[in-house]
Amino acid sequence: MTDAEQSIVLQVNHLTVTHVVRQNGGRRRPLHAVDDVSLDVRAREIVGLVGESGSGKTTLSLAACGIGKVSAGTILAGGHDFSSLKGVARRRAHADVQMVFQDPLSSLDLRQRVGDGLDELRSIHPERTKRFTNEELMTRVGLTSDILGRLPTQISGGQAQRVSITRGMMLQPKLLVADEPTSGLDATVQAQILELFESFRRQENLAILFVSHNLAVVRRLCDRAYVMKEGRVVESGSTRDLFERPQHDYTKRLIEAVPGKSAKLAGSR
Amino acid sequence: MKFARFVLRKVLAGLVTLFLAATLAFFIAKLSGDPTIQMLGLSATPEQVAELKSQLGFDRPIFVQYFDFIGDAARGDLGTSLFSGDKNLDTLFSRVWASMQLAVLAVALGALIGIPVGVFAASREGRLGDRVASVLSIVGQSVPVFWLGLILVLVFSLNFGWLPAGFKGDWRNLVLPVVTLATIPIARIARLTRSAMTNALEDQYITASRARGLTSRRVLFAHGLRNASLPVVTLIGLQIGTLLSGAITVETVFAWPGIGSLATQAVTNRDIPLVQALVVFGAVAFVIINTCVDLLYGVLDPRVREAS
Repeated sequence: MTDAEQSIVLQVNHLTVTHVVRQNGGRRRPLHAVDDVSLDVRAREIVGLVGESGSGKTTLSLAACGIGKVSAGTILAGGHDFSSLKGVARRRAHADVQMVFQDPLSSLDLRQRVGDGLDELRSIHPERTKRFTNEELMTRVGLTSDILGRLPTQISGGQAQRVSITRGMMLQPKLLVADEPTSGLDATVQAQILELFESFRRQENLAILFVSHNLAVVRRLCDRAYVMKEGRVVESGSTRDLFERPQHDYTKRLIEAVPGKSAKLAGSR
Repeated sequence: MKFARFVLRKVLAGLVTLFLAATLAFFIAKLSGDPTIQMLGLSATPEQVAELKSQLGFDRPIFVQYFDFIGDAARGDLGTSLFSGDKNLDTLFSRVWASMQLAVLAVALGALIGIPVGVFAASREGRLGDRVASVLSIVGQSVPVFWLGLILVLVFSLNFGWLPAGFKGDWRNLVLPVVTLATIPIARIARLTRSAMTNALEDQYITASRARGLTSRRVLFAHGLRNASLPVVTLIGLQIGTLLSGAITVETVFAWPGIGSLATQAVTNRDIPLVQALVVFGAVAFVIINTCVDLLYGVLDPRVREAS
């Protein structure tokens, strides 16, 4: 195994996710939400996954985290093939691959206080979570410790997203899959969250698969990016190449569709 | 302090409900006609009817009777039976233990079986286990209780002689009526738990919990069931209230001397004060149980506590 291969944190090979849907006449037909997709993410790399709604980004993200359906193909995430793991081994493997969701509030149990949620993860992954106290975890993401006693409904969207990121990062994962983590947040909070991802990449050697339809954010944050359309990857490459010399018509259309694109995209890196 | 205010508000709301229930019980009983004619028979003379009305106080203006009824009820006096002459409250207390045994045990059995079945069905939504559980719960809700009771008596008492069918005896006497009475709570609780859990399991925090490596059991019970528990707890409370205020069919089939059979006697005899007492008793049972359910909401959902 070469050094380059060793540093691969996420390797997706020919992944296909098929759902059976009913047509208007009631007949069932297969729908490929993800169709023969291959991609990789290396340590300390932030890789963007862009595309319109319904292009299969979230389906791929869930599969990468070992919690989504896989119809064909293989996934090696954080060194684990989730399809071959069960029970304790599978639960332990989850600690290496964490996910941050689009809507922070809906990804938190609204009846569970922030501190109780962190303690619950400590009880499940005691070895992985002893590095920082809850108060230190809050400080790391720019929150104060009084948040620990609050319910998710008593904090703002930005604070909830930081809590969600804390819950993922306290397990010291090798890979973080962030599914539209900044949509719905105002520009200032968005910038703070992106800065948080950057700092985790630097400090923790974290690899991030950053799913977004916000091309300006992808341009600013990611080293490489994959463009998805109707379940397939239509183009990939370094972010600079992708944005400055897009090859596929769909990528060109996505870039064209960004309001005020020239100013945003040019100035964002 | 916040919690004390929450409790106080619930208790006050309960008292208002009781007042309204007592008022309804009084006026509906009055609308149902004059019981003195039935007590004396059709051959009674107008003078005899007037004398009995005077004895019972039915000749006074209706609002005087109403305020007397409410005042007495507030002091714990639910009147006297027209037939036995016994204090209604004493009669109720002599019967309530028998009904409470049946109601609490039947609903406890309903919860013990219904909740796990509902959780199991929701965790296997659309699969064979879910379908079997759904069919069984529909059957459980559809089977007539009197028929099931009679079949159980026929099989287990008369045929095998394993269990007694009557009231007097030890704990074994409870088995058949409790099992009969529990079929509907089991089915209802299972169906509601399944439905509430199915919704809860679709929420993103469940996916997030799985992604964090939580065990399936923890995801299902600590998060899914806890979030689905409010409607289930409400149903359990309602079921206890309903059965406590009279499981008429089962008490009749098993000759069980509870509130249900007492209600049957009171209505048959047109014993209006006893009927009124039974209605007030039923309202008290519901108010106490609903208050407990409301307090339990606060325990199960901290948002309710914080909001209050």
